[in-house]
Amino acid sequence: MNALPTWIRPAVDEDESPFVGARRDEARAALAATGMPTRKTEAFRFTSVRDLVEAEFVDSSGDADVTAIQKRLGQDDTYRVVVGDGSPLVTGSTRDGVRVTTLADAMTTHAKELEATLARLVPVAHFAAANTASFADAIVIIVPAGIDAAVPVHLVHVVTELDRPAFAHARVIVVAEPKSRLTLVESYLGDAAGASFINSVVELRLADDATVEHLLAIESRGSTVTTVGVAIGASARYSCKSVLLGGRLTRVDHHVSLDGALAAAALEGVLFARGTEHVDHHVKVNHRGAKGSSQQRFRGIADEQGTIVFDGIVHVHKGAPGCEVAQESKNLLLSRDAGVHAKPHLEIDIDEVVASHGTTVGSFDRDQLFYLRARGIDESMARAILTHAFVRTVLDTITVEPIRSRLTSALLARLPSGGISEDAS
Amino acid sequence: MLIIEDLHAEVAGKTILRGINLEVASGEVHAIMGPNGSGKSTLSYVLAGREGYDVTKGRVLFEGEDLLAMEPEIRARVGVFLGFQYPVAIPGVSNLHFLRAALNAARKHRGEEPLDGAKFMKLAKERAALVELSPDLLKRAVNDGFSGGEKKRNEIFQMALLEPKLCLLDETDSGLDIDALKIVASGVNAMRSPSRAMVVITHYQRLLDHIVPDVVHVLYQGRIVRSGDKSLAHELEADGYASVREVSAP
Repeated sequence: MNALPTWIRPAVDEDESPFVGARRDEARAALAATGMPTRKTEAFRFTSVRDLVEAEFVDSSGDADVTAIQKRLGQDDTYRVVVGDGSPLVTGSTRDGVRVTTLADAMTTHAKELEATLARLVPVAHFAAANTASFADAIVIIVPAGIDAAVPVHLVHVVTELDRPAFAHARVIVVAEPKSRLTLVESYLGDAAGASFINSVVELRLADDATVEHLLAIESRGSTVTTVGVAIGASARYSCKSVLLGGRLTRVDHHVSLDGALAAAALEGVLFARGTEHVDHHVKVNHRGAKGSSQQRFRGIADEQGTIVFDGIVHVHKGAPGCEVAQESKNLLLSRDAGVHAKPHLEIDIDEVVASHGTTVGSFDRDQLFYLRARGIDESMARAILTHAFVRTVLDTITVEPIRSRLTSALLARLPSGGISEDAS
Repeated sequence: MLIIEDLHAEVAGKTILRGINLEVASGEVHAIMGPNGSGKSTLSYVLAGREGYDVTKGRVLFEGEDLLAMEPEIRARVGVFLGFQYPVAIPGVSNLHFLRAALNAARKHRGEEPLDGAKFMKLAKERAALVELSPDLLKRAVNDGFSGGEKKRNEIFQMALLEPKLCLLDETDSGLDIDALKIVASGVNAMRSPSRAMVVITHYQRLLDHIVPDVVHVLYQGRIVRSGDKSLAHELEADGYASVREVSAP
């Protein structure tokens, strides 16, 4: 086993609830037993985290340039919270009555839900365990029963450094009570230099009939490892759009459990890597309730020497008859040196399941290229148009404006021929 | 406008065109008829510059310039338009976005200013009306989910918008019912002009009742074996291509 990273911290707060201390002990024990992943770990076969494990990081300084962040993100009608710069968390409520608060404060009202959620919706291992052992405080978002929140909660993950590479462990818990609805936006900005590291864990518990729309946008030039755990109750609906725009190393582990009957999960994403960037999205969906439905639709684009990894597992358990499962991963290679490793798989323990899956890795469709050129559009423009079209199917479904257009522009600007005008229609 | 001299071409090592000679002047409409496998579509793809269609001999002049030396997009910009037999669907690309890029590429080539959004929209709506294409289809992704008839109307709409000098229509009638055929034909007829030439490729004489050609050619085994006026089309309709085969037999 390799040595544990120096950035795993000892317990932070002696006043915290005993159950939190117990979860930290459990995480430390797991790390002591199995260590951090290596290339021999199946889930990390194509993704080396050695640089992260061996790096020395300092704590994020707590001096985030909020003005610069607000300027970069522009105006959007969201309830914005800056996370991860080491500043103490502030508590408050959106105008819809969604509470954004600390773990200690949330324990006074939602102890049962928190105990069922913290370090229970993600595996007790690797980066998630490192986070559990180390996080300073968690942001807890509580959506009261029956509340249909119009204002998205927007968590902006940053790292502020002074002179050496810095890191932050961000911890988020969402408790969506019955029949509530929330849009959660997460923007991972990292730092300007691209040397930073954010290790986040986000756990979402959706009670019966709750709806959560999750937008996960990773735009950091540095390294980001995010472990997301979701538990979905009866007739509850979870959707996630992930937009992973490069980064030195970007790794998302998405663990989704459809627990209640008629639970639904829709996961869509765009993965983009160029230069020597490495973008990896692992998805594990567990169907445990009857008549659930899950959909995955991912688009990967790898340019230059960039690498995309997509691994999607859907496991339909014995107690989950009548499920519908669809899984699709399409990938576009823009350069000879780029790499894509895409692996969707289904594990089905029962007979009564409707399942479809498909994976493609390839270059441009020659018929489409010729059709565009035969109308007078030159080859590089035709490629840009087709690349844009390839990801549009996912980007266009993002409902939060102006974040959709901001992310679309950010992606277009990173494509080989730069932006193409979108205003023709 | 178009001069084809002794054109030979092969696809995947197989010779398809074996010496085509053809001259089309401004204002003329030529029909090229022929049985399946005679080389009709190959001729249209060679003229449009499709990859994999290799010219082994002969030359093609468009307004005195060597057409075969031009990239496909340059051919389009100088005024050669191919109406596809099988228009390609491009999900995610709006018809209008694509056509504005195409039109402005041609305008730039001619040294003209690009059309702004409002002027382009006005022009697009006007031209769409020619082939009764609904404004809704303009905004949709290129040919995505279009019926066979809608795809062909979309081709003629694009042609009307781009205003080419030479229109090559490859089996524009295939897959059309009689009503759609009439709409497409009236769109094509509206574009007939003394400054424009058309080459209409078809298997059946039916289309030529609606788009009446000045000259009809019969393509057989990669060569033009007969040429005549529109009555030739009727003769083929009555006797089939068998009569042609007899004529061309060595």
